[in-house]
Amino acid sequence: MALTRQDCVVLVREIEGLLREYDPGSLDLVVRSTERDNDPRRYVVRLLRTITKVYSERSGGMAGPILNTMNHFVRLADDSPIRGISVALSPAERELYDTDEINLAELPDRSEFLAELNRITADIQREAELPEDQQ
Amino acid sequence: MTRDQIQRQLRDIFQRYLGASSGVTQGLVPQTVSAGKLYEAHVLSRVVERLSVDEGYSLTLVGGTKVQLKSSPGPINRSYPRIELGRSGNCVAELWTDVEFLSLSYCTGGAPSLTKGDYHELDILIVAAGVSGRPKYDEIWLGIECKNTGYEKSLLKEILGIRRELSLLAGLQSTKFRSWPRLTVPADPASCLLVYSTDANVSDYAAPGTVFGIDFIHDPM
Repeated sequence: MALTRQDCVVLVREIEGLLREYDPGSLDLVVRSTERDNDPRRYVVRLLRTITKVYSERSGGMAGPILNTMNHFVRLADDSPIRGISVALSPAERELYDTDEINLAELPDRSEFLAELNRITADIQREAELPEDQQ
Repeated sequence: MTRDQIQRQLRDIFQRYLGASSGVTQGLVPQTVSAGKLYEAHVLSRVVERLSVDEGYSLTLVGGTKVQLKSSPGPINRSYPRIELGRSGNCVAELWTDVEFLSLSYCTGGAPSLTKGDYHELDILIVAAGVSGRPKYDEIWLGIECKNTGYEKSLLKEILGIRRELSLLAGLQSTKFRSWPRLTVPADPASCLLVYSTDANVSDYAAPGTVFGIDFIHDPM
């Protein structure tokens, strides 16, 4: 059975509730970054795409916000985000701390989460019967 | 697929992948090593923003997938990551961190061998593309010192010494930049020199910089 507009309103509330529960710091950013739409079927797809984008670039660690800023302006040659910020240690420090470098910020591997999100987004898109040019 | 099934799947993936912690487990970081480096990373993020927004450069990290600062300075090692400054598809300059440059006195004095007084460190450095080893004073477009500490007279003396070993005092010369950090500087060669400090008192020491072309910026992070 196709997803109705009301179904999609419920899904939007569900997604916002999940963000509030698991990553409240991201909720505001995600909502602000998602273009509003009067049709909840289109909006729920946009919302999930924003979440996918945010989590593909979101870093953690001591300098996580610095890395997030850096990724707005610098990319790798393949246009993917910078994976981290580290400090390379001197030979004496390597021996002392038994490591070559210290990670100040790191982009965690969320590829499985992002793949699942993409799959669910595609399912909603199909079940809501949204044509390609109306997303 | 029904609404209920989609809801269940959403709950499942949020719980599974974000449930424990969305952050990164951080090992025991020696504070002595990381303290100043966090501020250097912060300033670097400010610099890339200005280079992109004000100067219009396209910025690409090459040589690695992480920005890599160094706990101790050294020559440019091209096996390390650096940020390329691109314009019209060409790399015109490179940004490096924690690099020593060869001083004006060394390069003009003709000293036979390199001593410890012949090179100095800059926390962030922009040089012409392709430079390796210790860049010469006249290959530097921009040098930045980052001070996450109280700003004192000794730090002013240090940066005045760096200015002296980068350039001679001169009438206004055009820099390599269109507007940021400066269009002109009273120095020849026309390198820009910036000091970022977390200490608001840094402005008390800024006056000599107006003469010699040093910009003091209070940025509390």
